[in-house]
Amino acid sequence: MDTRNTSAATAGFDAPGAVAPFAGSAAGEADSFLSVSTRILDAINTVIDGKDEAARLVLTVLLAEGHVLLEDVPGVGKTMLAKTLARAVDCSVTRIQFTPDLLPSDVTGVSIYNQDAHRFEFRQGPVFANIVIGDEINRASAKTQSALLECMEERQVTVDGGTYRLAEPFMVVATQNPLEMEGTYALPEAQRDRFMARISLGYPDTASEIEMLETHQSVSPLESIVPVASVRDIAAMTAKVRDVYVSAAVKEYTVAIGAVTREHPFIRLGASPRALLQLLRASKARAALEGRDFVLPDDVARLAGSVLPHRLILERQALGAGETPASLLAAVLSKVPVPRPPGARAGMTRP
Amino acid sequence: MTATLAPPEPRQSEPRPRRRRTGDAQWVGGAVCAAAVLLCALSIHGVLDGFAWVWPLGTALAAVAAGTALARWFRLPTALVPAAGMAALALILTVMFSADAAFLGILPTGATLGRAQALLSAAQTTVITQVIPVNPDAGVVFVACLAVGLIAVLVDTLAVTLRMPAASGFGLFTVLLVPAIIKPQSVGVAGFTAAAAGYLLILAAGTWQERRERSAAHAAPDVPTRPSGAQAAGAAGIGAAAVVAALLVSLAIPGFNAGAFPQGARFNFLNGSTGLNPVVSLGNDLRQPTATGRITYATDSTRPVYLRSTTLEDFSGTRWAPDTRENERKSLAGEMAPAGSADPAIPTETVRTLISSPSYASPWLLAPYAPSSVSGLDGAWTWDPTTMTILSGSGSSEPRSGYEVVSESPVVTSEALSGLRAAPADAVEPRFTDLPGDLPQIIRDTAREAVAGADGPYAQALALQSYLRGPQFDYSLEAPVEGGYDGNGMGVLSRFLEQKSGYCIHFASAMAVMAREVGIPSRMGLGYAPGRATGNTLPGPDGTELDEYAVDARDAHAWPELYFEGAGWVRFEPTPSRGVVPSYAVQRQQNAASAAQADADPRDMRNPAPPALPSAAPEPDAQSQPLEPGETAAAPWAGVGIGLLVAGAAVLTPWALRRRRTGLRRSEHAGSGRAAPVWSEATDLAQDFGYRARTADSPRSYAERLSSQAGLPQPAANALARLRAAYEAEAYADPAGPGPAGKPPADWQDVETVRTALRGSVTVPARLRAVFVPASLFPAQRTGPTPAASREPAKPSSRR
Repeated sequence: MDTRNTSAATAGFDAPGAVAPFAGSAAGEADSFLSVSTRILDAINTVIDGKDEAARLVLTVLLAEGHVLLEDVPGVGKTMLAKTLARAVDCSVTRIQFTPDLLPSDVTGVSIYNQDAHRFEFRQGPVFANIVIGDEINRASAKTQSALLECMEERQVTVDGGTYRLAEPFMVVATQNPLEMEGTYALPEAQRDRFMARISLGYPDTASEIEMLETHQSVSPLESIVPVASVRDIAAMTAKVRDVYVSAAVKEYTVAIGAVTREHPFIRLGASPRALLQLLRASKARAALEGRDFVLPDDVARLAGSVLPHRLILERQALGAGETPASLLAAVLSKVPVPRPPGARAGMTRP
Repeated sequence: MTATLAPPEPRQSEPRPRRRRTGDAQWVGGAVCAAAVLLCALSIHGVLDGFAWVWPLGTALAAVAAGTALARWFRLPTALVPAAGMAALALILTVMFSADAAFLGILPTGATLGRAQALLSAAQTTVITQVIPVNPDAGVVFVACLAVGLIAVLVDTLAVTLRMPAASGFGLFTVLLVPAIIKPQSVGVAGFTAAAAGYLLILAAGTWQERRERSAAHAAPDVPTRPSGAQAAGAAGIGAAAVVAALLVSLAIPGFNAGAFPQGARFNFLNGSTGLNPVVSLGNDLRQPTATGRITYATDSTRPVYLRSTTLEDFSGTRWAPDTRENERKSLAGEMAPAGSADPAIPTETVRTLISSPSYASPWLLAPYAPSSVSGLDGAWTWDPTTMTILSGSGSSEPRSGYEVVSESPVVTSEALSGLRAAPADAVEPRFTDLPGDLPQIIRDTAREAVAGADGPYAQALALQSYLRGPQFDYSLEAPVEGGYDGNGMGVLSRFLEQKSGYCIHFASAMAVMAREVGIPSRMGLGYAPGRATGNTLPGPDGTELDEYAVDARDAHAWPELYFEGAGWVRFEPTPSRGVVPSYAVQRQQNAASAAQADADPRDMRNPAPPALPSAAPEPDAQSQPLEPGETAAAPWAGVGIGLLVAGAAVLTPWALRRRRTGLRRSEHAGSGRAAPVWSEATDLAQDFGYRARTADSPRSYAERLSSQAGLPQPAANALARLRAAYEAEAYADPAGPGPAGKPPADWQDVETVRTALRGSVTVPARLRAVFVPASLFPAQRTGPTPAASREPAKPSSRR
C-alpha cells in the first residue's frame, strides 16, 4: 500500500555549467553557497509562482537539518513544493501517502524471510531517502505517525533488533490539511514539536495565479526541473550553516523570546528548549542564505513566526478572545527588546 | 453701503456702468475715511468734556465725506476733490457756528470770518485757562471741527484719491496725538481700539475698492463685495500676531511706567516749558521725572520763600481757573499794597528776592507774598490788590530772565492768630467765601468732623490742616491719575476725600473749601515750594549776600491761604511731605518731628541726611518721592535679564547636552573606528526628528521603517544602510572572525547625509524640536509599538 515514488537518484550527477565546482577558499565557499541556494530557489520559483518566502523557508529548514510541516488547505501546492525541492536537489526522494490504514512498517520497512539465504532481510521502507514527502500526515493513525516521527528525531530505524541509519541529509516534508477538515487525526503536541517549522502556503496572489493558469495548462512544470544541487552540495552547505556565528546578544534574545512565551498569560504551553534550539538553527541557516556568517536578531524574529507558533498551546480564554498562536507570538516579539551587544552604553535602548 | 448704488440703466453703454461702479467704490471709501476719523476723534473725549461735541464733529465729517463724494460723482478733476471737501467743511462750519452772520445762512461772508476769529481766540482762552476736560464751548468745538475736518480731507485724499490707504494712518495719528499728549491717561484702551478699528476699516475699504475696480476692469459678472473667508482669516491672523507681538514687546521692554515715560509711553514734550496755566500743568509738572524748568531765586529772608504766581478763588465751577479780573487790576507802577491791610500792630518783614525764571513761561509773575514793588521787568504789568497777583498786561507768557521783588509780609505768630475772632461777613469780597450750592455732602461732613471741638478760626484752620496732614492721607502723584481725577473741581475733591490720596492741588483745595465751609474766607495759592539751596550767594543791592535757591517743575505747589481779620491772608500747608509748614501753623500738641519740620531752613538741606528734616522739600530722588526712576527702571531690567538668561538656559540646555553627546560619539568613533557610536548617533538623530524607535526594533527593522517613513532619498537611504550594516557586523558578527578590514567601515559622513535627509523630511516645528528638545535625550518618551503594529503578524506569518 505504500506509494513509493523514487526519483532518479543518480548520485554525482552534475548538470554541465549549472553547478560551480567547490572552491577551497572561504570566499569561494560563500560564493558557491549563495549560488547554489539561489539556483535551488529559482528552480522552485519556476514551478510554484509567488511563493518565494515559503520556498526560502523550506530551503532554510533543509539546511538547518530540520523537518518541515506544510499545513494548508488542499490544492495550494504543498506537495508540489515538496516535490520541486526534491527534484531541484539531486537526491533520493520518496513520497508516502498517509492513509488511516497505513502501518508503521509501511513507513520504516519490514524484515522479510529470504528463502534462498534462509535468513531475514530488512527491506527498507520509504523513509530511507534524503527527502521524504509525507502527504496528509494527519490522515494516518497515531501509531504510524509516531513511527515516522521517531525516525525524524533519531535519524535511524530500529527493526527486529537491527538499527539502520537513515540517509544524510534527511528531511521530512510533511503536509497536512487543517485540523477542522474531516477524517484527520491531529498531530499531538509532542510530535508537532519535532517539526522545525510549520509553513502555510496560502493562496497565490492574482498575478501569480494567472501566470500559473497559463504556464501549467499542458505540461507539468515539474518535468522541466533539473537537479541544480547535489547531495554533496547540500552537505557542504549544512556544514557551513553549522559554522554561522551566533553572538551572545542573539542567544539572549532567543532565550528572552522563549521566556516570554512561557510566562505569557494567554499561552498554556510556551516554547520548549528544543524549539529555541531549532529556532536558532533555522536562524543560522537563514543568515547563511542571506550571505552572512553571523545571526542577526532580525533572523530570529522573522523565523520565530514559522518555528514557534505550531508549538504553542493557548489558554481557553485566548482562544475565546480570538487570539491565534501567530498573533500572540507577534505580540510577544513586539515586547522583547533587542539586546544590545555588551559594551554598549546603558540608557535608552536603541535599535 | 450698496443700497445707494443706482442700478445701471439699460440703455447706457457698457463702459458707463463700469465707471460708475468705480465711483461707487470711491464713495464708499470716502465714507469709510470719515467714519474712521470720527472713531479716532472719539478719544478726544476727556480733552473735551462730555459727548456733546460729537454731534457737530460728526456733522462736519459727514459734510466732508459728502463733498468729496459729490466731487467724485460729478467726476471733477482729482485735484479738486480735496478742495470740494474743504468747501463742504467751510459750508457746514458756517451753518453750525455763524449762520446768522452768513449770507442765506450758508455762504460765508466777511462777518463769518470775523466770527471765526472770535471763536479761535475764545478757544485759545479756553485752552490757556482751563484744565482738561475743558468745557465744549463754541470756540473749542469750532476748532475741533475745523481741525478734524481738515484731517478728514487729508485722510480721504490719501486713502481714496491717492490710493494709499495705509498712509492714511498718518492723518489718524494726528487726531490721536492731541489726546495722547494732553490726557493724563493718554488715549486709553477704548480710544485706541476705536482708532485701530477705524484704520482697519480704511484698509478693508481700500482692498475692497481695489478688488472692485479690478473686477470691473475685467467686466466680471459677479463682483465680490466682501473679502473671502480665507482672506479674512489671514487678515485676522496677521492682526492677532501683531497684537501679540505688541503685547510681548511691551512686556519685554521695561520702564514704560517709569524712567523716561512716567505715565506710560505718552508724549510729554509740551511740558517742557512750565506754567502756561498753573493748574493745568501742575500735576504734570509734579510727575516730571527729571528736573525741568529750573528757576533760581536769591533772597535775604531767613525763611524759605514760596514763589506765588496766582491764586484761585472761584470754587463755583466744575473746574477752577485763575480769574484775571481785568477790571480790578492796577498798573504796576510804584508801590503795591494789599487791600484790607492787616492790623498795623503786627510787625511786617521786608524781604528782597532776586528771581530768575528763564524757562518759566506764564503770564503770571512769580513773586513771594506779598509783593510791594517789582523792578527789572519790561512791558506792562498789572496787579490785583485783593490777591496780590501780578499779570502781564499784554498776556505775554515769555520767560523772564531776572527781576527783583520786594515783599512785605506781616510776621504772624500763633499767639496773635489765636486771639482773633471770626472775620465779619463783609471783610472780604464774596468770591473768597462763596461755595457752590451743590457742594458734595462729604465735604461738608468732613469739614464739620475735622473742626469738631476747635474754637475760633485759627484753631479751626489748624484742625483742618492737621486733619489733612493726618496719617490717613497719602501724598500720591499716581493714585489720582489712576483714578482719573487729575485736576480740581468739587467732584474731584469729594473723590479725594474718599480715597484720601492725592497731591498738593487736592490737599490745598480741600482745605480751602472746608475752611469756607466753616466760615473762614480762603483762596488757593499756586506757585512753587521753596526748593533747595544751591549753596551759592548773590550780592545784594546794598552789600548784603543773598542765599540762592533753586526750584524746578517738581516743586510746583498749591497751598491754601486763609483770611484772618486783623492778620490778613495767611498761608497754611496741608500737603504732607511737601512744602514747609509755617511756624504759626504748627499746633502745640504736634509731636517733635512735625515741629522740627516747621520753618526748616533750606540751607540745612545741604547736609546729606538731616535727621530732623524728614521730608521738608525733599530731594527729587529721595525715598519719599513717589517715583524713583532709577530703582523702578533697574529692577525690571534685572528681572527681565535674569528671566531671559533662565529662559535661554532652559532652551539651550537640551541642545547643549545633545551637542555634547554627538561630540563624544564623534571622538569615540574617531578614536576607535567603532561603528556603534556612529549608529547610535544616526538613530538618535532619527528619534530627534520624530521617528520613534519601538522597544522591539532591531537595527534592521528600524532602519527599514525609517527609510520608508521619512522617505529618505536614495543616497541617504544607502548611507543609512551602510551604517546599519557596519553596526550589525560589529555587534553580532564573530569578533574572532575576519578583522576590521573585512567588515564594512562606518563613516561619520554618512551620519551627516542622513541628518540632512531627515531634516528635509520634516516640518519646521519638528526641526526646531529636534534642535531644542531632542527626543533622544528623554528616554521616558520612548514609545512601545502602536496598537496597530502589535496586531501586525510577524513576517513570515502563518496564513491560511
